[in-house]
Amino acid sequence: MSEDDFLLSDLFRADFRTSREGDELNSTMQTALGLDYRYQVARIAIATSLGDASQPRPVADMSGKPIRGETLFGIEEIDLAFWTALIVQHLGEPANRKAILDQAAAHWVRGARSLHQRWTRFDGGAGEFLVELARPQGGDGLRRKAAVNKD
Amino acid sequence: MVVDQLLLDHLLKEEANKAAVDLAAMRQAIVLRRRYDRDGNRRRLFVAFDSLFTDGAHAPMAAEAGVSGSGALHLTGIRLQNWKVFEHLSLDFPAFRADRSVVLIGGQNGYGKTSLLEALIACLFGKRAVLNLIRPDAASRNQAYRATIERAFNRRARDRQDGAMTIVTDWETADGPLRVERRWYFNDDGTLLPEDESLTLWTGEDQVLLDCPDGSNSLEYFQGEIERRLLTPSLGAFLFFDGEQVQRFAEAAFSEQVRAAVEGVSGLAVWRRAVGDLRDYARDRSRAGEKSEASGQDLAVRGHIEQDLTALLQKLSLARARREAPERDRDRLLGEIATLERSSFADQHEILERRQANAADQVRARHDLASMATQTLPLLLAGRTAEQLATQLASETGAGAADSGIFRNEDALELLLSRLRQAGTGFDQEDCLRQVWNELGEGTANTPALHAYLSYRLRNQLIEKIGKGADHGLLRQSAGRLDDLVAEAGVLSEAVAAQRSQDTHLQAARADLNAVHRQLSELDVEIRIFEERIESRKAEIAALDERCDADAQWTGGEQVSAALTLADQVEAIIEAVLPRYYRLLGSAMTEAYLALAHKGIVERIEIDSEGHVALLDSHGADIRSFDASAGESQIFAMALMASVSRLAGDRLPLVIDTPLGRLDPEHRRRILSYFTNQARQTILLSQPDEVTGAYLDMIAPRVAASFRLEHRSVDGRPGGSAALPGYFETVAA
Repeated sequence: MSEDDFLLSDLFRADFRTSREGDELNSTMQTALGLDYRYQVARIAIATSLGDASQPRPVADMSGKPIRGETLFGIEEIDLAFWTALIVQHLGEPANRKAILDQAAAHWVRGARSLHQRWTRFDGGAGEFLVELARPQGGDGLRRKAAVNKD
Repeated sequence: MVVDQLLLDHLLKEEANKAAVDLAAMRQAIVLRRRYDRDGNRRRLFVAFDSLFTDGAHAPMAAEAGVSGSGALHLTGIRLQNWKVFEHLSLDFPAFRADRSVVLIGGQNGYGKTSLLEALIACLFGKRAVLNLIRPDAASRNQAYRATIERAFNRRARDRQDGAMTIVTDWETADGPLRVERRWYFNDDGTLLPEDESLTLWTGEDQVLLDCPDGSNSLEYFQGEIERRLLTPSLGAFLFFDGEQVQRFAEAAFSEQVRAAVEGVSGLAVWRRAVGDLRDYARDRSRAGEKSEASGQDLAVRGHIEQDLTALLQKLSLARARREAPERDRDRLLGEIATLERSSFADQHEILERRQANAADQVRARHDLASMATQTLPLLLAGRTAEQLATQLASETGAGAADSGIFRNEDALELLLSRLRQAGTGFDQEDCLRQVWNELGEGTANTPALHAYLSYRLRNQLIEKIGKGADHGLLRQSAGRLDDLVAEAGVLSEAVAAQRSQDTHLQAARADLNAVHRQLSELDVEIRIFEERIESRKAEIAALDERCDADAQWTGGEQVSAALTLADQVEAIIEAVLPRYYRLLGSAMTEAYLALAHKGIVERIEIDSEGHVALLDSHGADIRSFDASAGESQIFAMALMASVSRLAGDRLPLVIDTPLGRLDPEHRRRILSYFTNQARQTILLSQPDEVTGAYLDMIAPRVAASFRLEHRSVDGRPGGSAALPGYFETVAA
């Protein structure tokens, strides 16, 4: 095995983090959307960023609170494999363990920013927001409320 | 010992029988004077006497009952508006209990204790009491009354040009509840106009307005009802009094006071006045020579009255016209309220239940949606990347298909690993073997795989997972369920809002109805006053006409003779009855005095037929000739009050302002004990340093309720007084 190789099982116990900003936005959105767990927001945020073809900017501080891999992506092997494969596919090149953690952190904060922006412009409740996000256009057509900041 | 009207009747009958005098005509004369006697115009009474002495005895008239039946009469409440220091006062007293009969009202000087006492007296007796009790030294009756009432009108109310002053007292009588309302109306400058006084009585639990019989003066009629159902002004003087003022009784002419007391209690005063009426009547009817001149004057008076009557009829018509609009409003509001009330409580309850269930369902639905969204959203949001992933995985898997063979079979790998572990060779390169196996499965060792970390099995599973896509249906279903609940919640909220709006509307309609009722009630009072005045004017005209007729029919002195004979006979009977009364009063006074005074010098009190009072010692000497101290004078006066109030039995309430005055401690104790241990309602109006400390402790078990009067200044200037529950506890402690 080369140093770039890694095993999926390594990621089960790995601590995934993002920046402080990403962590705070995660908390804000958890409260706003009424979700029970941090990882739920983190998943939606990372997925949101993965929907953007451009590469996220690397995260410098990585000082957010950690979430275990098995929590962030799921305890089933297929779930962890799915998320890891999405991250690697988006990166477009083979990745080692550290690169996957870095990429996850970058997607996490970019996605959280995006969610927060959409939420502040959204004219409706949390449930509706989630439903709107789930629509095929990926939430691009969210109803907007002019000049109203929910924060 | 109770010396009441029944005893008087008994004694009168005895004396009448002895003298062979029929008292029926006299009793009817008393009824007539009650019915017709009015200030300054006794024509109607004399016309009635004409009939009495011309036709002989009438068919029995409704007997004029005295103070009504048995059972404790007590005050249940008093309400004042614009009376002296009270702009608004409302006091409710507890139901009477013989073992807790005392109501204690505390207040400093100037806070309204005496005003409260005076309000009670003014409400019940109006002009009669104000003259006799509040302003006893007033010379001119009407002038003094007007001045007293105008002074009583609250200053701030006068400045506001309120226009009315009202006293309402509520009583529980042997015949049930009785409400007495006396109201005075004022001009904008605060002057009281003649006849701008109304007296209204309501009776029974349902507060039924008492009607005045046709042809009667309502003020006089209702005054008579108060005296019949409650008590007379003369008796009131001995039941509602100011402890500091009772010395006037001791210092003023005793005989007159005692005679007034006896006659007040027994009703002899009425008999005496009726005798006076008979003599006046005889004098009036004897002035035959003045008849024609009087008739001429009567015609002129009649003209004035008719003019007044016409004006009053116009005012009445206008007042009735003003009543039409609020009447229509009342009918409309009643209809509206009936419609609004049809929406039942059950409907409201069901809506609220459904709304509550909807709220719980929404919480569950949102939770489900959030959970589902967390599972489903990533595949939808990262859809493009996922599609690329699936293509990439298929490509990497397909590229190695030619030489991958057995290495694609994960089950074969697991079997191999299992066998190696079982072989016990210490094989520890399991991860390495998996890596190599997978690479062999790729079959493309020359092309570095992007997803080399994925086993063949996982790749296939991922391709399958991505191929299936996210379950939009379930998410939409979950969202749809939430949408339905949200929509239902909207409908339910509207229903609740509609119910609330309906309730608000209903309350507003009820408030409007109350306002309209008040408006109608005020108009009714106005109309009734006009009607009464009109009736009064008509009665005056009728009386004048009757007088003219009577004058025309006047035949001689038979009536005069009959009236004078009756007056003489009755006077003789009264004179025969009086000594017996005085003896009874003397015994009652002795009893009361001995209970109140602590010096054991006085053995008995005697009253002679002229009403002279003697306090006799054991040797029969009158100690009144000694110089008594002010305190002792007060004790004597108190004994008089106590004994006279005792004459009427325990049935009537006592209201005493400043009961302990300047008495020494021993007399204070005796007075308090005497007045608070009676089975009658006793209301004490006390200063802070009066009924306090040990005295308060002494009567505490008998106190049913206590209040204190407080003064509130407005903008640094004298404001008004108000009553608060509780007494001067801190002072008492």
